Amino acid sequence: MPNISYPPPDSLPPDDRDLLEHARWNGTPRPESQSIRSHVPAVLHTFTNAWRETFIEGVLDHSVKELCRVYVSQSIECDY
Amino acid sequence: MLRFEDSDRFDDRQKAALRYTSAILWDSSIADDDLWAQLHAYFTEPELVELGFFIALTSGQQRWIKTLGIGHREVLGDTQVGLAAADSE
Repeated sequence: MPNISYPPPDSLPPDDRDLLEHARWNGTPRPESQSIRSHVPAVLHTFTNAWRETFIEGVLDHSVKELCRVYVSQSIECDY
Repeated sequence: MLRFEDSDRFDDRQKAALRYTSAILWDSSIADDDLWAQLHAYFTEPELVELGFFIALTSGQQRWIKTLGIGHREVLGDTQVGLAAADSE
């Protein structure tokens, strides 16, 4: 189990639960990390908005950002 | 990928982006005048701002997540979408 608990998804407000459902079906960000962020709704929403607006959307082609994201993951040996 | 400098799998624009990533991750001195000249040749300033911000965001989040000890399929784990290695954040 993680070092910070997962709040039960059913205990979350609808907007927060929706973000976990998105993670459930899209995988990015992961449901586990989104669950931990949901302890602080401002963290969950701020991270999700920044992720969407600068990674999924944004001014730079997504492929470059994905390349750099994978490079970061491999550099720090992170599977997440 | 970690040896991208010697790889022919990446073009010059991609290598410039990866050097920028390395500078943010490991050593700001990598971002010397030569690298900035490359970056300005291949990317607009708004693109460089977005990429720098995103690299900072994802690297910080990934480092934090590594401390948490989370596993796969521990929350809403009834789908197959999150099982790829080096994935998600």
